[in-house]
Amino acid sequence: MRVLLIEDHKPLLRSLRQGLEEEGFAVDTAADGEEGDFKARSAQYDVIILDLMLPKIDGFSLLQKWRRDGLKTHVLVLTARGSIEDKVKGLDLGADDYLTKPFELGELIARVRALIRRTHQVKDPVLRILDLEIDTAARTVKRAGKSIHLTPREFALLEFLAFHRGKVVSRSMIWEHLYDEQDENTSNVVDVYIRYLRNKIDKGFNPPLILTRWGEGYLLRGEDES
Amino acid sequence: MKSIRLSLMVYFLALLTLALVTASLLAYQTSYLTLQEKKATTEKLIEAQYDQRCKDENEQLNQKLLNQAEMLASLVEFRIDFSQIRDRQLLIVGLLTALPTPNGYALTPLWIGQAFPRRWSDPFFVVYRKLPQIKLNEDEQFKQLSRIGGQAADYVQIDASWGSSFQSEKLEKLGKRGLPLDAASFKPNEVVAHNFDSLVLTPDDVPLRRVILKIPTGMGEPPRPPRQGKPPPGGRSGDPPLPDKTVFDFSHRPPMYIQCATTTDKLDETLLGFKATRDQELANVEAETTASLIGLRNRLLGISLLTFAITIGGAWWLVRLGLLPLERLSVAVSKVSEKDFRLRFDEPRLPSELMPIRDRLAGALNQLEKAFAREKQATADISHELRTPLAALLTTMELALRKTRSADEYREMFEDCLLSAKHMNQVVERLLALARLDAGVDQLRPRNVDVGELANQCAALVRPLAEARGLNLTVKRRNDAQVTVDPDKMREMMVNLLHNAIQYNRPNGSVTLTVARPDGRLEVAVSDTGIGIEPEKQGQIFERFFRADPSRGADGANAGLGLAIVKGYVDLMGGTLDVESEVNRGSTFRIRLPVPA
Repeated sequence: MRVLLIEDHKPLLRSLRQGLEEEGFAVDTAADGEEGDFKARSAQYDVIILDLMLPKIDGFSLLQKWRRDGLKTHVLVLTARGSIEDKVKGLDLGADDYLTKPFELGELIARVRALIRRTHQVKDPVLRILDLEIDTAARTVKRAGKSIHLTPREFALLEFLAFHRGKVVSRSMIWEHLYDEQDENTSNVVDVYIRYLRNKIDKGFNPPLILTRWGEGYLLRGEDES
Repeated sequence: MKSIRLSLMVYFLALLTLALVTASLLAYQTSYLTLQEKKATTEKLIEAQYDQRCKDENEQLNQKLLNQAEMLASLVEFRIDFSQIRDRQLLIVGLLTALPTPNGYALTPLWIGQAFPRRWSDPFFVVYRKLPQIKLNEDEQFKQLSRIGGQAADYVQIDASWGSSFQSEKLEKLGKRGLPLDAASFKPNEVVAHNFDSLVLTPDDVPLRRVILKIPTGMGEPPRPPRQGKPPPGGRSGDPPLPDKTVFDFSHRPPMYIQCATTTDKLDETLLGFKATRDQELANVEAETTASLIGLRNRLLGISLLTFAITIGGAWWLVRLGLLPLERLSVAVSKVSEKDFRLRFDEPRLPSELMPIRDRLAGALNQLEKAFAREKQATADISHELRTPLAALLTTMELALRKTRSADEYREMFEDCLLSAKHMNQVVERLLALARLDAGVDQLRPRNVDVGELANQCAALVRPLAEARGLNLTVKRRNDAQVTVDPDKMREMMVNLLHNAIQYNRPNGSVTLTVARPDGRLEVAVSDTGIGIEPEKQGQIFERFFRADPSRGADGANAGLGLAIVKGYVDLMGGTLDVESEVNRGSTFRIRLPVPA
């Protein structure tokens, strides 16, 4: 899942980025409103974390512009301004969630995950496909009751496929959502990770869940897929 | 606690009382004088009337007496009583010449003598001078007197100059001597004259008023001023006609003295009555005057009290009316609360005295509201200022503890924490500085220092920051700046200005710190090639928490406090702080201090 982090306080920016990356997110950053606006429109993010007090263009203005221009990305407003008026204003302008500084990192991450679930209209944090169990909150995977260890990248890929289960996702989509701007786009890195995933998830289990659609992409087997 | 209402009322009522008392006194005084005058005049009138009446009464009596006397003059008869004559010669002459009349014998020559002029008649009177006796018919007298309507004088005495005398009955009864007669009281050349006097008749001490009429014998009634066309009155029928008085000279006839006297009892009574009446009238006037005065006094008192009573009510009401807008204003003021600073006092027809109060009050409340809003904003700003570095601090530390990391990672994280903590520290320090300035506890500790050297120190402090942004930092010393000034504050101010210059600068720009001493003052200036400040904001930048660009984050402790602190210190030192700025060109902040060398 890819996240855009717009915050002007550098130490906080750095910590948050690291924190999110360690949780498996692909993170892009911007340190002022202008940069943030540019980036928000140029890539498909799952969540945008927006600070209100920004140089060049402030958070409220950005939010308003995005919503007016039809940007549907979930926005979580993160700010030191904790007054009721500001919260209400933020939400009314189109924010999806609001968190005041200082905050617990865990809370931020949980809320971001909740927003992502909302995108895919998933209520249960535990995704169940046949005998596969993916706990998106705990970051654990079981198949047929057996725990499977995945690296953060592998887990992110599986999670992504699971959210889109039954639907084909192209390589570029995968790339878009699981890699940040700084990663080099090597065309087969996705294929490589699919192979890793298959080794862990499908090998020794039946039926195979990770399927290939030639010319299109990959998909995770849906409930009614045969 | 003084009450306007009460004092107004008291003063007003005091004034009213004074006015009423004065007016009443004046009115009373004037009326008193008028009444006294009137009383005096009336008294004089009464007295005059009394005097007049007495005089009239006296006059009347006198006149009656005189009338009687005059009338008697014409009634006097000269008869001869032969039994009285002792002289034989006279007797014969008398017998010869007497004529009988109903009243006795009348002497013919006497008639003749009466009729003829003096030369002819005098000898007769010489001869007969002792003979004729005076006789008077008292009944006739009474008749005549009643005819003319007068009171008869009871005591009549007629004395002839030759000794013959007649006394009325009553007089005879009283005393032999009769009425004393002082013939000398009449002047010899007075032919007809009369005197009035009062006397007491012994032995009974009867008070009498008497008239003595000196009249020549044979004249009859004394001449009156002749009435037109009427002949002078004559005597009675049966007697010889009297000579025409107007031509006949009676001065040689022997005079006779007719005295008429009457008791003055009645007169005295009447006079006493008059006196009593007068006294009564005087007393009445006195009483009336007094009553008038009392009445006046009571009326004035009544009016005063009534006026007072009415005015108390009226005054109280008026005062209340006058103070009503004030009351309303006070009510409106009490409604002003922390939440709502507006003065709800919209009255278009406000009295002119209250208008300025209301305006100033509204103005003051407005200022207060702004100050509160600023403070509220400030509080929000402060919390905001500190929250972001706090969040950074917490997040970094949380992250650090999530899993075991390498030493390098930990170091990096610690450095980040340090940055945030320093940031927070700076904000707190600035706030403390402002708080100290507010509380007035900040003291200047001046020392003799080289400000140029201070400038160098400050420049060295901020140079890393400047270089990190690619800015050129220079220090210029124009003059020797060895002055007495508080060095810590000086440093703080310079660092503040330098930070701003660096903060708001453009890439590859420059910052210049200048120290100079024009006209014995100390001048420290910091110029930059930064983004500049709009003219309308140039006045506000020294306000607390004011940021020319409010969206600017808290990167480098830009809480809007720096300039406020510099201004505070400059004011404390008694100097000035100015800014010259042009948008997109740069700004120069100049501190000017009056310092002794």
